[in-house]
Amino acid sequence: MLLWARTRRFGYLLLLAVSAPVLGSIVAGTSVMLPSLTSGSPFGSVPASVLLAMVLPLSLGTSLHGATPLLGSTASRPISQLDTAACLLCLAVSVSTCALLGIVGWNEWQIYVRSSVTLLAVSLLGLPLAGYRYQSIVPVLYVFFAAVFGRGPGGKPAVWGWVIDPQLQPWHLPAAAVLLGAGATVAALLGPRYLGKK
Amino acid sequence: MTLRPLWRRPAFLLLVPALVLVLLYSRAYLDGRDFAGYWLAVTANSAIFLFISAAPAAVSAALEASRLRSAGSIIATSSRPAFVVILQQIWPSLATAFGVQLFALLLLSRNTWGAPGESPIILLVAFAAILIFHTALGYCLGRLLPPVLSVPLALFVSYVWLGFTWSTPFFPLRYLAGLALVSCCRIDETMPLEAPAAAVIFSLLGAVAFTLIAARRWRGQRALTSIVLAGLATTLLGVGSVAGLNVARDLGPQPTKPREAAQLSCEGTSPQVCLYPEQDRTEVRTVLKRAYSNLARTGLPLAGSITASSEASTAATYNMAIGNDTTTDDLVYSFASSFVHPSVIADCPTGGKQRQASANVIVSWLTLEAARGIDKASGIPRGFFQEGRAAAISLTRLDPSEQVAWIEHNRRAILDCSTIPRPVP
Repeated sequence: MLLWARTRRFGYLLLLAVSAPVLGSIVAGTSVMLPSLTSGSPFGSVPASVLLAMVLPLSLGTSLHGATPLLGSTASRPISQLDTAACLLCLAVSVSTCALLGIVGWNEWQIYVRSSVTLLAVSLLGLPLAGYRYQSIVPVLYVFFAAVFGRGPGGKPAVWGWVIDPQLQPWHLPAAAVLLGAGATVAALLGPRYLGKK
Repeated sequence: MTLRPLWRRPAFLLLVPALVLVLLYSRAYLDGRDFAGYWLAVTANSAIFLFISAAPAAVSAALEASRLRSAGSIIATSSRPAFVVILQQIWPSLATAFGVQLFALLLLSRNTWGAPGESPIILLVAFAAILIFHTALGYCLGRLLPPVLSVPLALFVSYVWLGFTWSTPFFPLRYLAGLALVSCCRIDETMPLEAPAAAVIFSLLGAVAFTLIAARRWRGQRALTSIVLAGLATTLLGVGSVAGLNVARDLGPQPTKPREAAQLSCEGTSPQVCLYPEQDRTEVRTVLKRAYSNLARTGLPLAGSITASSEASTAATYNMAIGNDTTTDDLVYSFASSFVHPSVIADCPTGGKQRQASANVIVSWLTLEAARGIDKASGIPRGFFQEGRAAAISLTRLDPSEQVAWIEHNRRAILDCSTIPRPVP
């Protein structure tokens, strides 16, 4: 178990899970102009916290890939489930940090939570197909497509592009939770496609 | 050495999405008609696509460098010099970036092919230098940091450097990144050489600096060499920044200056029509001559020449804007409205509304009169000037000398607060 935690650099992951929201609260209110092709104006603003929410899925993907998943295929322990649990644990740490920062006065914290839950969920959903190495491409592409193609006239984000919405809608958090449930189930049951084969 | 197949080089994998983005962006926002016909403006406007072409350059260079980073032991056995290895790694990134930028320029210039002149070489050099800079930046990040950090950072830093410097209130900084070149030029403007020169100087020195940093920790170098290289890189970056800022120090928010009047080609008398080579078409001269003689026939005293310029008209010449896709109707309206440049309407304490209404009637009347007998000229002005059309039509029912007297009086009233505008009789 200790080896499992060490090969996944669990310490670093927890550190990132805490430091990314802290950084988000420091740059609170900042947004980045990203190109937009469907809104009628060439650039649309995306909250910086949405971009920072990519830190968790990106680092998780890298760390799990670095743990030589091929060896996992010979393990007697349920590696896929453990890895998924590790992802959820990091997310829980991140969300708790956000909530604490929210109490201190970070009013964007729910947007950060929504974005990080959503982005981790899509990266887990992509795991069976993309594997550990490329799973983090999925949330990056999602944010990219949402920014570039996910806005209607006037810059309003489409329903499917909720991750870039600068406003928190009441349905965002439940929707993100449902997506996370689906992602965790898929990742825990299926695992990356090469795990269990050769 | 075995070369990796080209389709496995990340730069070439990123080429297709980048081209598609260029295509979609230009379809959505930039069809190139506003500045078509003027190679300088077309080339400068293609600078907006730097944010698309620089991204694959930086990201793919970071990916290539991260491959080298994880293959440290293999390099240790290589006898080739660092710069040869680096060049072999980054040429696909450069080729992709240049290809995307060139594609954007070709796309943007499709209505300009065949127009006189050519893309200014210095601008093309500036774009190349900027893309080399972004490639070197991505490569340096990829060499120093693990890919999970370097790839997103390469994309982010490249994007932010282009985007945020574009809107900084410290103008010289805008020209180091180069996206600011995009706001050039109307046809009567040209670009000061300092604007692209600042980008070239900074980008090339910066690129060398980043490459030196990337090459610093090559196989078993002595610590001294490493420190010297790092110092050299820092110095180059500093020198590049200072030199670039210094070159661009007198530039304003936009990289433009008035174009030399010597480039105008003037023909004819009463009116003498002066056009830039890009506008010099027989039909333009014919329409303008006809419109001028129509107005002369009404008895209105006229200035002797028409000049392509967006400045306010003077007593000696009517300054008017002529684009490449200007229709006959546009030409007639543009000529008529050159009599009342918005900037010359006097800002008087009272009677502002009457003065604007007079201007509307005057432009409507001039458009109507100038368009007589010209094919495809509707005689209808554009924008808010249309509000004066009904009054202008009733003005034409008066005696010709009365019409001219009314126009003359109200033109004076527009310019001078002490003259009260007369209502349409």
